[in-house]
Amino acid sequence: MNSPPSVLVYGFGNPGREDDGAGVALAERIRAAALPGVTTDSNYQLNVEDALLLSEHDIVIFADATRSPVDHFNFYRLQPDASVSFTTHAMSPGSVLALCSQLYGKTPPAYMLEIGGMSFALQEGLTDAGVENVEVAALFLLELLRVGSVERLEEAIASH
Amino acid sequence: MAQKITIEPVTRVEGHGKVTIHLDDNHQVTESRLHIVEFRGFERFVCGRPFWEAPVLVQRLCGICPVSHHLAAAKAMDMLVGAGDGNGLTPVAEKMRRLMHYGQIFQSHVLHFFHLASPDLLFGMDADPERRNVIGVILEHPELAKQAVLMRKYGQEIIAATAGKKIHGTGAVPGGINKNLSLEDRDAFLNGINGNPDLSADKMIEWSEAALALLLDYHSSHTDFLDGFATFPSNHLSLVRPDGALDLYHGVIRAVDPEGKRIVNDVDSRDYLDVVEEEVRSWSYMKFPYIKELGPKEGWYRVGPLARLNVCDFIPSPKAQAAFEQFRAYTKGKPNHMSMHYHWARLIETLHAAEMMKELLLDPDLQGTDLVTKGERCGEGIGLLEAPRGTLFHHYRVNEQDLITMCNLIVSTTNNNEPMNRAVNAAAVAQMTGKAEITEPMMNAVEVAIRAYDPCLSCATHAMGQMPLEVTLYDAAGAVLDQQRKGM
Repeated sequence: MNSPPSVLVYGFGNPGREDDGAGVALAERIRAAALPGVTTDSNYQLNVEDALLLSEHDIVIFADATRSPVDHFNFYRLQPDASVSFTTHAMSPGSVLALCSQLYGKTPPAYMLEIGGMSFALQEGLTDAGVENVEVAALFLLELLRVGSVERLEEAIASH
Repeated sequence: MAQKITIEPVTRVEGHGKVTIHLDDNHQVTESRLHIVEFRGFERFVCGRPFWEAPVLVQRLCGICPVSHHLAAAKAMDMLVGAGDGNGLTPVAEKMRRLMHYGQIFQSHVLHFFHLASPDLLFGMDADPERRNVIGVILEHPELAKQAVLMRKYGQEIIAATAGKKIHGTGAVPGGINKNLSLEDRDAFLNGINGNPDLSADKMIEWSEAALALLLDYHSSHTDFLDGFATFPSNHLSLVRPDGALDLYHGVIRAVDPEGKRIVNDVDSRDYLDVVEEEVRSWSYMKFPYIKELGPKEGWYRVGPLARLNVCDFIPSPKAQAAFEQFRAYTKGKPNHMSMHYHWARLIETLHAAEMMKELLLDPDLQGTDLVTKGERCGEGIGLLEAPRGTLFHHYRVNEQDLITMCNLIVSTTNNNEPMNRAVNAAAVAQMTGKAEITEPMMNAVEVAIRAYDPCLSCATHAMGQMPLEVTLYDAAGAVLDQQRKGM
């Protein structure tokens, strides 16, 4: 029997700014499901050492809040972004993926799950809409993650 | 017609800043400013919350240095619960916090050097910006980049073992700490995390020495640049141990003038309001702190690695002390005013942090079980700390219902506001005066001056995450030229 793929779900954002914490909340929701082969991580923002973390997984799914109007969430494949200009201490998912490729010669399939956010004020906790969007996105992701192989997971992801 | 050059955003600096450089008709620089938005909402955000939540809540301030805010708030809470002022914790509590703090200093300094500073140093300021970034460093120095990643990881693992999760870290609690260090963790940090000898305490020291050697080698071949770029005299302020040792976790407030004379003589950190005051200026949302007794014109100061090494008498770890002696000898024992030497000082501190982590890991007190000190509750707490970027002030008042009623924060980048503005102007004058054309490398020189201070604008502006930036430009007469808002 094949072992399940090693999947990393990485939520980032600031839970002290309302829906900016959506990615972190989603990672918590996935962690609670305790799916075999699925690990989660959270941080305020991405950084250089995350390239090493990416290199240790078969598939990576980033989760973050978005201000863009979306139907609960948006999900798409990420490409390494080596041309990015590093403007802050923080890094984008694409730039971390590029770092992973440059440093470790690995580019795991990586996806971005953008969760719709309504308000980003300085306040703890998601808005009602944020809670709903996280739940809808989590159900979508849990359904995807319950398949049993990298190939099938890739197929399932590609079909969305 | 006079020109106004705008550089926005400042690349590789946290958050958004805006630099304006004003030229007259003869292409002479008349004025340069670093404009920063400051959002003062965070103090209000904390008010009304139970005081014991503060060490967790304040981590929301900044994704770069949450540990610094966590510990500064915890120190203030120590005072509130009657656990003294940096001297009342149990040995295990104080040493666990110190280990956490050195882990934070270590990983933060490593990030700055390799991610933000080394591209400028390795490729030069006039290199193609497409190449002058961390990817460029990797392509040309892959082993150096891999070391940097592992050094970052080591620091982060130390933080995880002492503070808990990256978000909602709860290691420090009012009066102490919530866990000790297991023998399993201790052995992993000493011998290699997950059995990887490259993730060991000795390797961190070795690589820190190598990074310092790299900078000194660069210095030997770029002396004029590192010594002359954005150099200006200033006061320097930091915490220092009562015996004069560098102490990044706790100490008294000391400041020296440009000649090294003490102008703040080891004042108790609880009396910081007797020492420091903040000035507001119309063109920046970030305040300008200064030494009260000297006033805003003469009393502004620098904080951070350069200031700390100018203020302290010695470093209490052998390898860093040897490097410190070399550093001090370079300016014949006088304060070092060279902005680019922040990088030198930062790497000496990186080495010190690596040595201190090992020293602490070998200390059996870390396995102690007496975690929390309790005493007589009071209504006010003040916690000062030397964060990676400089002195950090946290001050709280609490009512009888245990709710926070007042919160005042002065973050490191705010302390360096005036010096950063001076560095910008010095760079602009040196690079742009008399030039008919403004080139990208010349504009980058201004940014290099800012980057030396490793500013964390999200932290200084109390605005992490997404918020609009509003910038207002003024002419020499104070009239508004332009006003813009953009998302962050």
